[in-house]
Amino acid sequence: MNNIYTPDIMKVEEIKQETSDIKTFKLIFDDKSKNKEFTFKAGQFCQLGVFGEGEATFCIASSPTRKGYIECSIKEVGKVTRAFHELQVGDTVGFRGPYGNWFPIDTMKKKNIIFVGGGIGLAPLRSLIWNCLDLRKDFKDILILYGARSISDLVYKDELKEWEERKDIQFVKTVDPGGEDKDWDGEIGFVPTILREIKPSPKNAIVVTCGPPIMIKFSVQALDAMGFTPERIVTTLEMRMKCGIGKCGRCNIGNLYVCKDGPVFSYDQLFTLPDEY
Amino acid sequence: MINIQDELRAKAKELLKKKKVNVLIGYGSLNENDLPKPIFIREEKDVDMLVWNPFCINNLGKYLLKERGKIGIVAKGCDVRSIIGLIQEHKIKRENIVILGIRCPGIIDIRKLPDKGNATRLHMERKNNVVMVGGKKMQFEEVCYDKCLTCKYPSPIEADFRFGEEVKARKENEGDSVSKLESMNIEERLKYWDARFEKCIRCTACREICPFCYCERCILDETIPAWVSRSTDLSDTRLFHMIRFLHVAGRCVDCGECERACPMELPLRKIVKMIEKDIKEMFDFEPGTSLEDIPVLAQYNIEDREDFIR
Amino acid sequence: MTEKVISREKIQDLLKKLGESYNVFAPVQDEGKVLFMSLENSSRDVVLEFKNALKPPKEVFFPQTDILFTFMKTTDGVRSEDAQRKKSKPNLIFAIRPCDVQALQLFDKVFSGDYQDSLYLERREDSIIISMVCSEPQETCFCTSVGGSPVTAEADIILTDLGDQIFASGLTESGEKILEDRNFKTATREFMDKKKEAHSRAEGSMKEVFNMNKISEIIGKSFEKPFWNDISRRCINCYTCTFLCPTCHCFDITDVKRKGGGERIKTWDSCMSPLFTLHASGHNPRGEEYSRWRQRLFHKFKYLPDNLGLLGCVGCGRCLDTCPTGMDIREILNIVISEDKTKE
Repeated sequence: MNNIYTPDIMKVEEIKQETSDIKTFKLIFDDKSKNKEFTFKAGQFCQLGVFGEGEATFCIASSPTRKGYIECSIKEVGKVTRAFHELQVGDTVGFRGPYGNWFPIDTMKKKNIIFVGGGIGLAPLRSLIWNCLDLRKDFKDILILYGARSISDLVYKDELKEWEERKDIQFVKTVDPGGEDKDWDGEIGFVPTILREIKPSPKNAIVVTCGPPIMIKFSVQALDAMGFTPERIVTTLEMRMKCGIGKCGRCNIGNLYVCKDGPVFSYDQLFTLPDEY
Repeated sequence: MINIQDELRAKAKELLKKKKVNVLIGYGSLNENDLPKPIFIREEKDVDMLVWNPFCINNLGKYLLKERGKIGIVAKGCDVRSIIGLIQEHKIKRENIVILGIRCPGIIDIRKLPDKGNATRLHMERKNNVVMVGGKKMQFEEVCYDKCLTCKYPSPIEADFRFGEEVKARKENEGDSVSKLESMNIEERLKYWDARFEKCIRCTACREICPFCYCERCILDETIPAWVSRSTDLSDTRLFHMIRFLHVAGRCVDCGECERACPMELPLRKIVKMIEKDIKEMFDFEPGTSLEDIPVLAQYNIEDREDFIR
Repeated sequence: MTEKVISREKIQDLLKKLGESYNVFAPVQDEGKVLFMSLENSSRDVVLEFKNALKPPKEVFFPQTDILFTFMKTTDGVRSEDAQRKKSKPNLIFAIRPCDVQALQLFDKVFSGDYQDSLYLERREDSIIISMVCSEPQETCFCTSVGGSPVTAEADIILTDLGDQIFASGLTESGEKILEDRNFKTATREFMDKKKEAHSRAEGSMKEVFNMNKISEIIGKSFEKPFWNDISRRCINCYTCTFLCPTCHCFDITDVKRKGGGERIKTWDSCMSPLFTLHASGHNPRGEEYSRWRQRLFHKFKYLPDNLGLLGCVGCGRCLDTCPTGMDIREILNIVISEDKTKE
């Protein structure tokens, strides 16, 4: 019988410093055939580990349309993430996954998509954003609203520029008041505030959001006021996880396990769950 | 016995009524069959839940760290020492607590009763040193906690109110257990402890029940680096206990709660006793016996022997 | 169903024989405690005169520390190697109580499903469960209140202690095969009657400690109730109740570094610890003590029934028997139930 806890070996192909404490790791499977076979869906996560330090949960931040590698953006906060930040190109990591459910991309087709992201919360959205952009014709209007505390906290800066220049989407970037400098050409204000100003129409639209809890809370309130019904607002949750497969018992909210029944939830689901996340 | 309980209730009622305390930590039972448990009384009407009987074993001192404001606490002679320790360590202020000290003649260890006393403890009477357990006469010494056999401070050193008759201190019979262990050579001692630590399930009950294990972040839980792994490998378990005991050395008052809480019945008080002896010999210090003391390992004395520095 | 008897003194001989084909775990005496231990390389005598073992034998299949795999640093990275889980013989648990057998049903569900936990399942494969009727349940036992029974078990064989003789009923094919051993004699009418009597005595001694009717539903409604903080006040958040619980199965995965490599281990973990759900960021969804007690109760009486159709409590009473501060799950369930009634 296969040992479900044994990871696949991956190598660090590229490391990109996003902010002072966030790095994006491009990883490829050591077993070359795996690179071809491997598929996942935007929104799924994986358990990445540095041998000797342990595993932690990360969303896959690259798009399933870009084959042959995965990318994960990792903020240095604890033991495992610290070990990741010490890695060099060519180093070995362990990978288990993909786990969990995914963004409802099929039901999003032929609809207007609104992405609302904050800080490193853009990572899971980025997977879906590129997925949508690579299949641009399948979707109607796309709006990306992304904010961070300050300019230096914005992740994927090159890609933000690319999105900004694209004519087939609307891209709005913002930083919290005080986080700008004199050359800043984006908005200044908290994400929910800017969202109110943009005032996207709820008609035929789905919102996908991820970011700090406080941003999500006020964004959801703003969306509600604009007439977005809870089932049209989708988010992805973060929890302390160990197994990733619904056995170790810690990531539950009510009777749902974020690892197995999530991490993607719509707000009509979340409203029925206890406030324990 | 009944006297103490009545007096306790009367005093508790008075303290709550006059708002001298906003909570009273004591022992209580829902039904008379139940063993007494720690309870938190906030209203006068609940005072009748308060009990005192020879099963009131918990050291309630730890709960002082959980409550806010003026706290009343029921404490036996041994428990009072840990409260003094917590005051010395500035975890609580003397003026914020009201100690209802009990002169304690000893507590019965239900593990020493047939069937843990489940069937018999209702029919228990105590007269002097004879306990009637389900119609069977037993010497109190046979059924009481080991710590009670050598109790030096059955009467509270510090208290606002005292209950019960004066109890004579037991002859300090510095545990044969210590000398027995000391007579073993290192290999024998290691073998002795390994055979016991092997059973440890690392439930942390010894730590959580200890009034002096109040650190917000415990070194035993640290992950960067993980000094002690989550593995129950003997080397980790040895380390777990050694680290914990070293951290309470010079503070531990032998309330015996670690040993009592241990579900695997590890003889943890044997380590306590050895540490107690060392602290006494090296520093002539007895923790938790005076409010004026500074914890021995938190002070510096020019006369301190320094032969441990090499 | 084959029904036989074996004389008490033949038990050691039987176990010795079973030891040839199985790794036998049986209750033994250890400094006054009764624990299940492997009889391999052990000279300890098996005890049959016990109420229940201090620790449930869940660790036969779900050890407290389980090595998932080992890894070593190599010149071009790291190589991992599946841990050697030598299992020359299938496991056999002897004289396990019916409540602990019931707990294994839950374990089987938890560790199978979409993701098969090979570590558990390989140990469980071909295992033999020989249960033993509780002739004298403890005061702290409440199996009948959670749908169990002191006299029946989903085992291969169930034994009933009749004094000089032990009555044995074969419940499965593998169980009946074991009963073919020469130590077993055919049960006469007399023994069958005695067994029946023992069973009804045991059943009669069990009282209902709470009303299980709609328990999941009642618990489900209590999440926001104000009493949780009060009723969990004296809990000190140690892991005794969860580690000694026959159904508690939550675990942690951590790495142990050794020279030149190390191992990844799966170890028992406890929802009573604040670290269980602590995010690296410092955020903790169950940072409050009462929320962890509530989680434990909800997991056992609501989430597991909802998700797997089984209660996470078998009424063995170990948690309340060993709790250093006298937390009593029966008492707390009764509070939840009565609070529910007062509202209606």
